[in-house]
Amino acid sequence: MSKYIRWWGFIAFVVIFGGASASVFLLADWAVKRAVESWGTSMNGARVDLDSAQMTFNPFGFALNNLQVADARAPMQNSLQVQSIKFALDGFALLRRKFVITEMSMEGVRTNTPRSVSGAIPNPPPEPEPESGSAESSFSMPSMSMPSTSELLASEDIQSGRLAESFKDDLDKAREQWSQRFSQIPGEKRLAEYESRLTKAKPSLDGKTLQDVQEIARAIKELEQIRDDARADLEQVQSVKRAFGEDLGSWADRTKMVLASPQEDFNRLKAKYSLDAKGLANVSNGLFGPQVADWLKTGEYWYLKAKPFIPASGKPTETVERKRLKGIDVRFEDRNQVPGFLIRNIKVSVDVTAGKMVGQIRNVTNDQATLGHPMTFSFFGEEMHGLKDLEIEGTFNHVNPKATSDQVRMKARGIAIDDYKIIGGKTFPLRLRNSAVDLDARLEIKDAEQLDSEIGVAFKTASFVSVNGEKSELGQVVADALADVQQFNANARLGGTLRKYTLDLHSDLDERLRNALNRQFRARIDHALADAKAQLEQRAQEAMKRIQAKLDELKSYEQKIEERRKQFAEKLDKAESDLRAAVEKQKSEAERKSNEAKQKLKSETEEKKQEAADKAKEKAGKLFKGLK
Amino acid sequence: MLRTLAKLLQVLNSETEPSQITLGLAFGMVMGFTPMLTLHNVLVLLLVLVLRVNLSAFLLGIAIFSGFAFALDPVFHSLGALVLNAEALQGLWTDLYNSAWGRLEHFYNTVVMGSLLISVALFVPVVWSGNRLVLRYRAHVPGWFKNNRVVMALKSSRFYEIYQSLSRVTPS
Repeated sequence: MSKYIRWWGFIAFVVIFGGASASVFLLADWAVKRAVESWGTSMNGARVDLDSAQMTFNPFGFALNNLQVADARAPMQNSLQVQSIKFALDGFALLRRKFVITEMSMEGVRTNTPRSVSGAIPNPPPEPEPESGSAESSFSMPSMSMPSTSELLASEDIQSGRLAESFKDDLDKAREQWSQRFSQIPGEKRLAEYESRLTKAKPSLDGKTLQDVQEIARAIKELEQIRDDARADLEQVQSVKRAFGEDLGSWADRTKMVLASPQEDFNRLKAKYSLDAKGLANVSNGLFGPQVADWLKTGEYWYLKAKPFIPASGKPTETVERKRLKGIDVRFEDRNQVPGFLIRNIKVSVDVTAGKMVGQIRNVTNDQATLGHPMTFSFFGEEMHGLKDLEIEGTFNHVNPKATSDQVRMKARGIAIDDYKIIGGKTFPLRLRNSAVDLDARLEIKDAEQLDSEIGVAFKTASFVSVNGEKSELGQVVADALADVQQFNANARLGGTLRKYTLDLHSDLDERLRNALNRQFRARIDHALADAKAQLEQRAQEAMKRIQAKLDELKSYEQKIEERRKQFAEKLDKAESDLRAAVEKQKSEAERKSNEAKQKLKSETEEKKQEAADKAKEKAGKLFKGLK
Repeated sequence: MLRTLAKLLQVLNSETEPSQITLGLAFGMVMGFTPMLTLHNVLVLLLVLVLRVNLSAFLLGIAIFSGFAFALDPVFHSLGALVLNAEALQGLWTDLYNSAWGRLEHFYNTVVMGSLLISVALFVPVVWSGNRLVLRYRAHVPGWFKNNRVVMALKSSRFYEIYQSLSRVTPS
């Protein structure tokens, strides 16, 4: 046996591979800890720390202890802290270079926990920023005082005045520009030059044929040059005229805007101070809008943060084509097709202020198209304080990348509100106390952009308290109107796009407040608005007078340019007519010369004929004499 | 390399079984032809270490056939692609593709498949012809070399020094 077997070789093989395997197992804990921390930090934009990681063999997987994800916006706070994460890996999938977690459990999940060291990193990636013009700007608590007309016009954003002022400034600038531009176009000096050149170009004929012909040719050449120059100058003047015409058009449009702006300002004021559902009486918007906008802003921030992890395109895994000399990997039918990254099931237990929430998340992957199933999650409250029942469930469906849908449904019953500050400040301090609220919300984002959501809130018991403060008259009316409210419903509808959403908030309170405000303020508001309209129109008229004067001044350039154009056109006509005359002269001179030559040739021929006849006659006479 | 070559010559001139030398060379061919990090190469390494094959011949085989592999890669790729795309074998490949061993072996790569097929096909011919060559070598070459002038000149070179120093070591 030992003739064929080398036992020390076998031992060497075992030592080599055993040592390599042991190294992998020993280093795996460290490698996983490092991988989680470095990958997490780069994705999070703030530090991700892990106390330890241990490999487990039954089932094969890892246990991670105390994961801390720092909040990029507040580095001394963790946005997420998880006491323990255990997961089982699919070994076969790992051999296929796919990271598939069959089961994961997350215990002790907490949010907004303090950190002992800052989680800030030196060069964090840019935070997702919401676009300007989101619904946030549309929320403003109605002013809880009734201003006078002058105060109203001074405090509100009056566009008509701004438009007129900016138009006037632009006209001043335009006047300077056109003055400069007009001085640059060919002028009187150039016209005089043409006059002189045209005079000089006129041919002076002295009746000597050869000199006349040369003189006419010189005149034609000179006139052609004058014609080309005049044509170029005329084109320059005409292009300036066209540019001026365009400016005139734009000034006309802006004049119309300035004229229309007082009415638009008035419409805006009317909408704001009118006592209808879109105006002052929409108390829902005023009372709850800022808070809802704040929630939406937070939701948008986290959605944008999570977006890179949500499959966007769902592109199927492409065939790996290696470089030449390394061959090509031929793909065969995968009987158990799984994405490159997949967590099949996560069991989560979250500690929140109100108690504990347990739930599970299924099919977390970056390639739902391959998996063929959407990501789903469901949570419910356990041992909650100040809340009877809470259920949250949702689906992130990106199976068909061309028609994605992210849905979250939330149902909460009996949310107890002991004391909630709705509005602070001195003019209208308002709080909601001892309320019980039911909430039903459906949030949906289609195609990763389009929002279509509804939130319904039923305040089963409600008690508005306007605490001590220096309330304005309007604030007092609102406080009185809300004082005897015991229950009401509020509804919100969210539309538009994720980055530019619209929020429509309404509640039972709107009608109640409208009636109260009508009783107290209707006549005064109408009077103030009418007064504001009159003042706006008067201001616009005054502004228009000044604008018109500037426009008239500018329009004088139109006349000047037209006059200049005519002068150059005349010079061009003169050059062309002189040129035509010279050409005619040249032609007639050429004809005259031709006729003279013909005449001369004819007379010479006649002479030669006569001479020949005379000679013949003489010869014949001599011949007859001889015969005789 | 010089040391390995000297070792091989020393083994050739010793009483080591020819099959031990040629098996080493043939296993070296398999490892040299095919990409290094594959499952079958682990098996080859195990066999080389456990069986009494000549390690110098094995190392020399890897060096020589790795060089050939660079030139032969296009041939390996073409043959691999032909076999992997053969209609009749699709069932077999699909089964293998869906097994852990198949994935570890990385058989679905055209160069891996082509080079493995060629090295397996050449394994027996290399061993058989190698044995014959070793026997012929031992019968004719040492005597002829002894009296050759070039060899006599070589005997004074560094290569011969290495050869001599190794000749005192018992071949494995």
